[in-house]
Amino acid sequence: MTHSLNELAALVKLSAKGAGYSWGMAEEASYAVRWLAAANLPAPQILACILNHQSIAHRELAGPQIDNTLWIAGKTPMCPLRTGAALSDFASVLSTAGPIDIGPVNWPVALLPFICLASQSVDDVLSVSWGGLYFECRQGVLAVNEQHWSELQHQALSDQSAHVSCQLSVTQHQRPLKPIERLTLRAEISEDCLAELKSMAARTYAPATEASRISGAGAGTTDND
Amino acid sequence: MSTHEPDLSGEIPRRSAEQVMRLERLGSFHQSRLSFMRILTRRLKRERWTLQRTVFSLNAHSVGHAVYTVSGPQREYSLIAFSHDLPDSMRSDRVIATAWDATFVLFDGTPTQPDIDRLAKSVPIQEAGRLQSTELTLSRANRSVRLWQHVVERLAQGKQPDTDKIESVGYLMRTTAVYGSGKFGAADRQSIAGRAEFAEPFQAEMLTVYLIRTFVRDLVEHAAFVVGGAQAVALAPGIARQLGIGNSTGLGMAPFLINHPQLFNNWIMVREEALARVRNIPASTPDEQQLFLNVLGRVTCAFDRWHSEHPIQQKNLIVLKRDMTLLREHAAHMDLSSNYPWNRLYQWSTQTLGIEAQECLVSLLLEPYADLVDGMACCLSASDEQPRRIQGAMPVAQLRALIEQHYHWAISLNWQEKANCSRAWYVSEEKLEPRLGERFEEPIEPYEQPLAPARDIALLHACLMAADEHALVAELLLQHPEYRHVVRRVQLLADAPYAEIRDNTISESLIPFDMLRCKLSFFGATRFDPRSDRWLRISLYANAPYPEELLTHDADTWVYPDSLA
Repeated sequence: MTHSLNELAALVKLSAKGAGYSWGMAEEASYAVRWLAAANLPAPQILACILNHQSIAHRELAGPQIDNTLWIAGKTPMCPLRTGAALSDFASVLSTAGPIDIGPVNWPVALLPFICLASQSVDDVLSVSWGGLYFECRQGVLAVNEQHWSELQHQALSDQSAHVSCQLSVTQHQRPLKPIERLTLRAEISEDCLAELKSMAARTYAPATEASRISGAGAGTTDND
Repeated sequence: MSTHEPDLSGEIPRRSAEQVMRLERLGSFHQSRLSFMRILTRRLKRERWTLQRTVFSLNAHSVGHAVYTVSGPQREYSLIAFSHDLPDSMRSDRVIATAWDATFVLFDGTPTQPDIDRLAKSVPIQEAGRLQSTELTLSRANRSVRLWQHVVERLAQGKQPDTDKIESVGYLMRTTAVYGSGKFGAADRQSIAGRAEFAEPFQAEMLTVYLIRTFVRDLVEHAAFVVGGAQAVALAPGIARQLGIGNSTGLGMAPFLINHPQLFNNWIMVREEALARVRNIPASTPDEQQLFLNVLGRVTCAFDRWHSEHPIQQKNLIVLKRDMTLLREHAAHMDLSSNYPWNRLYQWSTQTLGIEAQECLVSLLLEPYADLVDGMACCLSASDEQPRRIQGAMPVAQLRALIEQHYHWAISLNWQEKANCSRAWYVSEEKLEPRLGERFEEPIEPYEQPLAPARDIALLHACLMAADEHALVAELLLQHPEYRHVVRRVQLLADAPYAEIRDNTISESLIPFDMLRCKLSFFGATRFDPRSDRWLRISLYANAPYPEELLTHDADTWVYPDSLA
């Protein structure tokens, strides 16, 4: 069963809130899932993994602790959504002097939407690499070589946490890279994954009471005329 | 040089957000030539769209389906209507209803029989069904019990319905939801936003309702022919045109304006820019004056047909009708030809008339100036695909200054006072729809939706007062992700001044239908009839020509009834 990206993004916003993120981070999660799905990556599953992990942690997963060019995790690997949002927030103060080392980060594939967002606020090329995969981004367009892209598609879901290197540089990579374009406007969601996201979203719904049925929506007078 | 060239010195600026963005004023807006319904009918006429009823397969109980296909310069769209036999006891406008008199889907192109067979299973069950990317909207409607039976009986007897009854109800069916933008699996707005016919907001939804109106006319005539046979007659075209489509709208729509701040800003910005352009016109031509006076007279007829049983609206209607008389008298005697006539008239209104009439005048002032106003319609849209990127390099001091500039009204409220935060917005488990509850009386606070920007920004401001003013917003958000959603709003306001309602949306004195009316006025709705403080009925397309009449009738100012009709 395919879903529209709007539908998926709306569901993930609520799921992220239900999993314990703030509303503002839930907006970022919603953006990330839409981006990943449009790039034909298994977005709902990636988000379900991240949110599930968060849900078990019962607190907004620690963002990075930043010490100049070193972004280090606390006791557990960093959440890619919080790290990604921080990268986007700090983008315009990143320096071209050297790479920043980030890690370890869970499901680093979820950093990619934020690298794109971050690159919109810098003139230079923003590159990110982990586990032998290399991506670079200029003005919101992500580029990668085909082999790395295919590897990413195969391993996007494996629960690897990785150390990530992020670098702002003036010139682009020498090797020919292929821009990742919007590939689809629909998302495939398995029944299990849908049920998981819906159950997290359901935590944001207030149990119905008779009072809410009558007064909450404001009806109660006849509407059958 | 044409006499209505705008004065480019720009001496009269757009109205300020402080003035415009108050709920009382937003809740007094009226349709205008920027309304989405009128943008649609103008386009259909200009581009000579045609309509074909390709299927009308209904039995003697009016059960079956029909297909209406409109064809434009590049594409076709089809309304597939399913008509049902609904027992009276099941007819409800509430979102918790599970059955309707008729259900609809707008299909991208011309449906095949397998498409229709598939949709016959999912469309009648509405939210419980699934759509595909070939479907653009999903909708349903119920009959007006008051009017339906009367019209069927009269037509069956070979007579026309009683025009007083037509006028007092105004519609044969009312829709209770029109879903678009990817809901229930339908196509995302993004996938159709690049098409010229959908460049402006809600055009697919507006087209759906326009075609539903044609189906409803055909359906009532079908029902009359079943009863009356050869004796039955069709609705007289003039009476048929008076009929709009009703709509019941509840709280589900209210959060939209808060959840789409950039889009909301664009709607208001375009309307305010249009007003400023007209106010800056130094002199008007006799034709322009004539057009203005004409719609001013006709809008009074429209208000005569506007009834409400709600005490607040009744009171507003009395004042509005009195004010419109004052406005007509004043406009008839003043010199409208020179010396910035429209600005003088507007300024007079602000000193003399109530807010309802002031905002009605704003809409009327745009009418003679299609060339100054209509071209801005494309600026009404906004992409909500990507959240606005937070400017993390902004120093805390600057964010604080922005709040003090744009949200002074919010940070100066006493948030300890119960009256200022007695309400909470939440989504009910039962129907997944936004509701408004009493924070201190119901167990809803843990489920509160982020629909109280004023309070949340006041909290952010307090946090900023304690923070290092040289720190970056990015650093603050690392420690305080809970302010992320409001930091985004504050930064947006720096260049989207009309993005925020400048009132407290959880106040004891909040009147939620102000939010509904504001949105519905941009659709082009008329006859706002609040049924409580949180749901209302409206009319869409009353007096509009039917698709086959577009080429021979006025496709633009139809919203103002002709007093001679």
